[in-house]
Amino acid sequence: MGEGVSPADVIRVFKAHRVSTYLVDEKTHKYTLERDDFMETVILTDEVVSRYLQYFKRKLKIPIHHFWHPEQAEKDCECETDE
Amino acid sequence: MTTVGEKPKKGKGKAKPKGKPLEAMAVHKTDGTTHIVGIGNIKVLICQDGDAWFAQGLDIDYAANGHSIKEVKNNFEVGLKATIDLNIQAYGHIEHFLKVAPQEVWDELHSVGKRYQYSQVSLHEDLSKSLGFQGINFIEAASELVA
Repeated sequence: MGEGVSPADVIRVFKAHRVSTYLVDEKTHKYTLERDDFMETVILTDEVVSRYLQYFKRKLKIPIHHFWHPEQAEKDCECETDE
Repeated sequence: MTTVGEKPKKGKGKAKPKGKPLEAMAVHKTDGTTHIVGIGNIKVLICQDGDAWFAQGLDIDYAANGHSIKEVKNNFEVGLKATIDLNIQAYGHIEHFLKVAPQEVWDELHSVGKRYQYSQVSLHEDLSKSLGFQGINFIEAASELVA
């Protein structure tokens, strides 16, 4: 259900995929995501559920396993840049 | 001015069929400094996923999650307004944001979850100074439909 995936992990994945993010409000967990013509404010609860990640996967074309393995996301994206 | 959706037809003496959802629409009007955005009658699908709730817009591809139905509705409304505000700050319009949810989401409408209809009118003013939601005039809240 999303155990083990923290908001910090999600931000790492977004950054690896060149989605600029910032935390607007720590209390409400409100994030802003921006990439090219995409800009959205989302509110994530502490437990980032799988369904929400599927939403990002669909919208931002981010492989869902990257959310579970943020280190892999960083590595993959570095490789893409190198190419 | 941006307008999405059809204008509701004016009925002469004819009552609308009970329970029929109204046409979704979005309107954006500006005089250059002040922006008024109206989002009307969008359908939102709410599903439970474990301990959490998920709200997915159908007419506008936007979603939010929360720990309860009340919280997810509030998160959806607050996030939607914030996203409109950001899009106006960044692009001066809301056209990037006006995308219908994909077919797979619509397919869930008749199989899972509850749905409700949502409308809002928001005023976006003095945008360079506002990072929060000052100046937004919330007029109409969500109304529950039968699941």
